Amino acid sequence: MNTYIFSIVTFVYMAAMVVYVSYLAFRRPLVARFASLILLGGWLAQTAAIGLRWYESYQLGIGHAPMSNLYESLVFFSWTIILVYMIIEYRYKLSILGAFVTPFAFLGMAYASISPSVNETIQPLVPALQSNWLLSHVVSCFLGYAAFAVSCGVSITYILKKRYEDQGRQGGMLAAFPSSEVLDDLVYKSIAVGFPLLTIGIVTGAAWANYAWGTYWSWDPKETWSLITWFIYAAFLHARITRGWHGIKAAMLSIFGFVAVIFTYLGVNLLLSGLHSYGGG
Amino acid sequence: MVADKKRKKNQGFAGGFIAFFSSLKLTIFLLITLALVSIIGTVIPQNQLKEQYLRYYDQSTYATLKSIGFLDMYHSWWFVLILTLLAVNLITCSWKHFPRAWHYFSHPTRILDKTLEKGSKLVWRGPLARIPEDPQSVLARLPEIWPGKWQLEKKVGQNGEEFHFSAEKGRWSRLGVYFVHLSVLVIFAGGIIGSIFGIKGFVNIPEGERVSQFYTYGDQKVPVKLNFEIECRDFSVEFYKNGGPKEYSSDLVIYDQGKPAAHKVIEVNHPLSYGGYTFYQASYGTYGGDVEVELHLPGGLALPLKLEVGRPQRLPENWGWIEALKVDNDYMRMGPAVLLLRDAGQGGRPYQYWSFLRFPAFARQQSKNGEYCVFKNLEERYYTGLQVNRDPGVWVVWTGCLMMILGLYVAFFMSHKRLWLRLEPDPDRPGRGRLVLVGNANKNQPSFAHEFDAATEKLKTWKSGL
Ligand code: HEM
Repeated sequence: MNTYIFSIVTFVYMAAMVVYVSYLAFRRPLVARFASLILLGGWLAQTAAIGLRWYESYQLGIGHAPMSNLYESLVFFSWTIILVYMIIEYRYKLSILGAFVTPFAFLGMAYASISPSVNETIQPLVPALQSNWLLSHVVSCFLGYAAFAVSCGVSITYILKKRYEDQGRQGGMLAAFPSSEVLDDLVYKSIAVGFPLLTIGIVTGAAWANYAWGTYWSWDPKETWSLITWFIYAAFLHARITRGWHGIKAAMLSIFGFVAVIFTYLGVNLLLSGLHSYGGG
Repeated sequence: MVADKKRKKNQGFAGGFIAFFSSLKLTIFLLITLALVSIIGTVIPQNQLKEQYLRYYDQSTYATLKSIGFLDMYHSWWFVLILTLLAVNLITCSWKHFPRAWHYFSHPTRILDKTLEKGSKLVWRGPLARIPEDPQSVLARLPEIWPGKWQLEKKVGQNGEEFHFSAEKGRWSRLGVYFVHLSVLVIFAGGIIGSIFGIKGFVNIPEGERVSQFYTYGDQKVPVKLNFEIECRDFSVEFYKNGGPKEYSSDLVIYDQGKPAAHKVIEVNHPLSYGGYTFYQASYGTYGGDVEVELHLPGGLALPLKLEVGRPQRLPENWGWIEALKVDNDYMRMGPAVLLLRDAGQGGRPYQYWSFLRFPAFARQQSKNGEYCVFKNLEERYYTGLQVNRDPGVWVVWTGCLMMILGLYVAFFMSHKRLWLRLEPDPDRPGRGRLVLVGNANKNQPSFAHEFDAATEKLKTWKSGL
């Protein structure tokens, strides 16, 4: 049942994405309003389906928060991206960013629903994952990732806009974008939200590992990649205040940061698999 | 003069050192370098046994990778060097910047001078009917326009006596960044303490047995003595329907000087700590347990027996000996089987045969002399696999982590907000005065701008009545 709703949500997010992109082209406020409504509808349905899946896992007698396998985490990731995006859109009245952020959520959902390698069923938890740390760890990491997804979307917008401003052009699609300063500030703000969350995610992960296995840090590829991501964003924070490094170079760092996020999240499991597995015995 | 020159020369070296190590460019370089080199260790498996490496690398590649530290890169000299440089960078940078930040912190600006006024974005000016005689009464009312502790300074300016009022909130939030930087050093310190004084190992304890040492990991498993004993009273495991383990737990008892000192049923995620060590449920396994058989003697007598693998058992009367030599979980694809050695005594030769758990009739059919042995049950015995760990640096690390999270919160989400109000004679209208209000926040300016506007609205309502 829940997976059925999730597939519908995938299409709703695709629709929202298309409308946001057409807003870029037409720039009619009504179009933006429409896009936001579609997005909100999809997000509410997704929220309900996550709740339903949680409930269903209890019905199956293996109750746990729906964040324990790739499918569930992809769904949760998309959910947090849209949540963070909607807050920013509401606070800063920047519907223009929708075209750059919604694709991440749509791709996440599409990958979860379509890829045959992603198992949709509700699975029981292996002993190592049965911990209260799981929830705080996963939630803080994914909220952080969502903030970074937004910062990546905004960084791309920033680079386009900055180039455009530097060339002294006028008119065209980019004219409607907020000024590069506003975008730069938004990149910074979303990273200022994401960085502490990632830090909390890494710390709770370490605390959990210490509690479960007796080592807070073992340089396992997943841990290491989360640290790599953290290094990149720390570099970004200092690049912004350094002459010669702010502007486009800093925005590039934030894009690389998000590439590292994606690799930490998916690449480690898909490409470096076999090195990172749970379970004893 | 001479002293001056000397100082300059010193500054040449020390200054150069400080300039190099306090530079933010070095920080960015080190952080990006750390990110890049860390990738190596996620692609090349770390800390495996030589035989494991030789499965995917040839001998010379293995030797090269080992010599440049790629097989244990997070402990290699060059990785530690980069971390050390980052620490030096951080210390030098704080050394250089902190005094200024501290001065700023401890000497807040109380006077609203022209430079401050010119450099501020939030400025409001208004006329004032007359200069109040008693500035203290104004001071008392100022919290109405902006809550907080206001300060008063008097100063004689170009046009006469001026009153400078100032108030601020969250001044200490300026130090948040230094707290974050300090936390990085604290975490490093915790890691170093752990690597010098900590120890890690493992021990397997069969159900019902007691040990007083464990073994370190690595090529040579070095035994480490504990000054207490640990017993595994019981081990149990539950499975999911798909066969995966759901939960496993060990009932552990600690004996200190022979007396029970602690008791806990541990499972994954629920370890036991005692005497500075922590015991974690890491794995489990089975080893040959008791074999239950029924020996049928030629006279029709059936003798139930419990055999321990590898230990010969003497039978009553003069019936000789029997021994379970080994147990195979799937012998000849026919399921569990036990290899028995039978010595009937009385000059006969000992002989061996297999008995199958799933095919009890088989034993009888195979019998040559009317005697046979039915394999009734295999009582598997478990051992529990414990990870043993002592890390006195772990609390230092947690302290650092907590400091970092708090520091990040302060650095990113708390702002230092300031307001200044100047009351001065108006040079163009003798006897009357004017007001200048200036505001400044180092973060989240839009929301502070609202506070500033609200304050000016209040001021407008009072300016004639001051
Ligand atoms: C892993 C190590 C480090 C971490 C996690 C870290 C973290 C931070 C954070 C979170 C900020 C605040 C950024 C902002 O408000 O936008 C910051 C600012 C800063 N950091 Fe670092 N930092 C590190 C290393 C260094 C090093 C080695 C230096 C030495 C040059 C340095 C110099 C600075 C400076 C000068 C600032 C600006 C301070 C200010 O705004 O007053 N940081 N750092």
